[in-house]
Amino acid sequence: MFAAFLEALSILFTWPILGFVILATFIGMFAGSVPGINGPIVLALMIPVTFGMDPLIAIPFLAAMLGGTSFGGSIPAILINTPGTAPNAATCFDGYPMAQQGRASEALGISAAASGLGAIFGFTLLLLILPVSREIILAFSAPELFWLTIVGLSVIAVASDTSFLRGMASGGLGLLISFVGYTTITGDYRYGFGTDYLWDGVPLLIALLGLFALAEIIRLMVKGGSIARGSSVEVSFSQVVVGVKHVVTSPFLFVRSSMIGSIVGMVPGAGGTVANFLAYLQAMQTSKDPDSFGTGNPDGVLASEASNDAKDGGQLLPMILFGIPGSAGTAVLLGGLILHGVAPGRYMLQEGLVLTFLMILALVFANIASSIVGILSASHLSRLTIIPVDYIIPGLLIVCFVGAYSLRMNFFDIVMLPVFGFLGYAMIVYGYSRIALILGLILGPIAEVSFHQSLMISDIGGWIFISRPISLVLLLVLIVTVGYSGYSKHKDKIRSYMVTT
Amino acid sequence: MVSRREVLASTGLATSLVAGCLGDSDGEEDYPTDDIEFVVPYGPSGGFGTYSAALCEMYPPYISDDAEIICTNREGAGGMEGMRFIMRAEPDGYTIGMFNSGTLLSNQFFEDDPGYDAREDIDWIGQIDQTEHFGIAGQHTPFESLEDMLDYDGTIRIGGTDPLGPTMITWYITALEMGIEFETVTGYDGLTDIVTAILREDVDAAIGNTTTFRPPVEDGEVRSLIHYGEESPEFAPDTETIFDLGHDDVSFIAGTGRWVGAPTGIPDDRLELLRDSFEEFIHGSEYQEWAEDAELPLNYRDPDGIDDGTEAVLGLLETHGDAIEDITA
Repeated sequence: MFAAFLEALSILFTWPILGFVILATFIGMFAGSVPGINGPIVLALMIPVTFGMDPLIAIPFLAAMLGGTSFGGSIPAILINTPGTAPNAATCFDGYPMAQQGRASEALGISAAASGLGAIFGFTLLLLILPVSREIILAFSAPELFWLTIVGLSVIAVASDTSFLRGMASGGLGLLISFVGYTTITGDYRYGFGTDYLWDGVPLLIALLGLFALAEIIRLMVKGGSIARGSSVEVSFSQVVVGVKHVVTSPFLFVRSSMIGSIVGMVPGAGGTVANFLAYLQAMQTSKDPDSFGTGNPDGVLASEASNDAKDGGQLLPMILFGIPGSAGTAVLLGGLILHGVAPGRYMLQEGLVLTFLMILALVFANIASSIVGILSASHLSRLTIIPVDYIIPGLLIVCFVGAYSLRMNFFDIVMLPVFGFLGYAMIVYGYSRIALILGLILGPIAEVSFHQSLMISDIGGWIFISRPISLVLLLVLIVTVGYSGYSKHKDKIRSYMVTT
Repeated sequence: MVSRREVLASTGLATSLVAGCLGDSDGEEDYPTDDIEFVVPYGPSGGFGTYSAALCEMYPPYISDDAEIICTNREGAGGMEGMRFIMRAEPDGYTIGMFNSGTLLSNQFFEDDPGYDAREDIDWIGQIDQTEHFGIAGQHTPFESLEDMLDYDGTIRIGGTDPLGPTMITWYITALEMGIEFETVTGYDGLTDIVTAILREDVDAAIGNTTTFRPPVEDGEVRSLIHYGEESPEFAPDTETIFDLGHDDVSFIAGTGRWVGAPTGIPDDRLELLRDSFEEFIHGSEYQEWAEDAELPLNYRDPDGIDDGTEAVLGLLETHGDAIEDITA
């Protein structure tokens, strides 16, 4: 195995493979940073381009492209409160408030450093647990996936940047919207109004673009000025270095967040989005200043981005072992592998081990390279936050609508976009959490399917949810998380009550 | 007296009429003068996307020296969005695409108002492949053939993606004809997800295709159960076939046909060019070699064969449709 790893490493740094990997990194980084043109889309566009290439060039080329999108997606999340990819949503919590405070350079520095180091951590862990990863993946069945998504949903209650009830209302709305469409549990088409458009449900990317990008554009149009508010705006490389240093001096938080990203990322279906919110949640709960989360706490950005890049390694495992993609990006990557005659499973772990390592190394290289580029360019990118919005809004609008249409080339996506845009703006005005809505939208279908599947496979009815070890652990995590959060928010009242009684 | 304006108007009208007559685009020698859009009803990953990407790369020389074939992925509604897009396109020969036979025909039968009839709204060009369905069982089960399921005391759980998807319909008809009692566990993301569910012992068996199930069978992780072709696949030569069990008619529905078609109404000469060039392309060495390297089967069928297959499948659904609706109710 070590010999295969060394051979793959030597192949990666030969020409023209290295050249293609560098090119792919930049393409992926650009794609990830433009909301609407994310990893799966650009990867899908590039697969035909690789046709005719030697697999030794094509596979690392595609993998590097995917690697470049992870950090790229944090750039719009920080600068314009719009996650470039769904897993970057948690970065918005604190990244954008930092940008509003004139600390965009610092936030981008944190993101770049956490991304690069997180990728290294994730892939190191991948190589270490590869021998036992199969058992870990098989241990997560429907009941475990159900509790995992419920823990993810609990973030709504715990980390809501608005009041608890409003957070729950937003999350509930997200869940309601998530149930629109065809369900493969019963074969019913729910609330589709007889059209094909809503068959697959409300498109997540359209909801993201509308709720965050378009809503933010509307808000900027109303308020005017620039993204960064106040006089203490710092746009400099020294601020970027401050961000990088913050990551280096927070090793325990970094390791915990990366571990969560890697391990949860391994669970097919849960995906990187759940991992990032779980990492964010643990950062908040272990912080000495949990109330500052959501207002520009650097630890929030660190946790989310470290987890986001560490998950890339975890998501590769089910794909390599079983041919099950762990995310939309790895699904398209898998298609590219099959097109080039690479079958997942035994082949990738035996005869094709060198190619497997080459793919992994290209992904790591892209993550690190994009992080370095991010560090070097962060101070320039953050200038976007001090430009008067009158100059940037037209461009942002074009990006939004082009991105929405490019998803499926469906006209109704353009119609749906402003619906979510105005909904998002209303939520800003009346203080409802858009993050909670997105969480409900993403996790609702996973929770519903896993709930029903658990009952279908059970010989003991509903007791299956508490009869399996991992399920019990996740349930306890949920109880402790929500209970501790409730206690933290109301401890003064609780103590006062106990004193009086 | 005729005014200058009237002269100019008349001249313009005459010029337009002449230009219109000269702009003859119906002749075979003029087609194709532009790129042809090849619509794929699924994403670029997966079987349809894989076959299509190679087709778009290798097919153009067989039809034209100038025109390209541009693959467009239009996924949604389980593939129906892309397939409906093809059926509604202008029948000028510049929009063709791939159809999933199972989804197309089961959707037509089970939907109250599908809005199309595959027998009338599509001009078939040819079949790329009919991947016959293939059944597997977990090593944790005692099932080595379907007949083992007949006397089984416990609950038999069959994994599936969509309760009205082609593979599940194949299973329903098989079980109805053989008298097997079962429960379904649906909602899985794909066939590989179902294989993992079998490995977890969440489900006992599943129907899928040879392409996806071949690796776990060859690795010994699952057991082959049934094959819906006339002969067992080479990687599992001892697998019982539906023909061995005397239920030959089930084979009509038990496969994923990757059919290439166009909206009905294309000029005959263009349709003929498409059909002839497609047949030549499928049998050409380049596509054959690619398929062999990628370990993907190719099974050409001509348009008449596709029509026969369509009638056979719809007939089978007619026979068992009520019972299937009872199962999925």
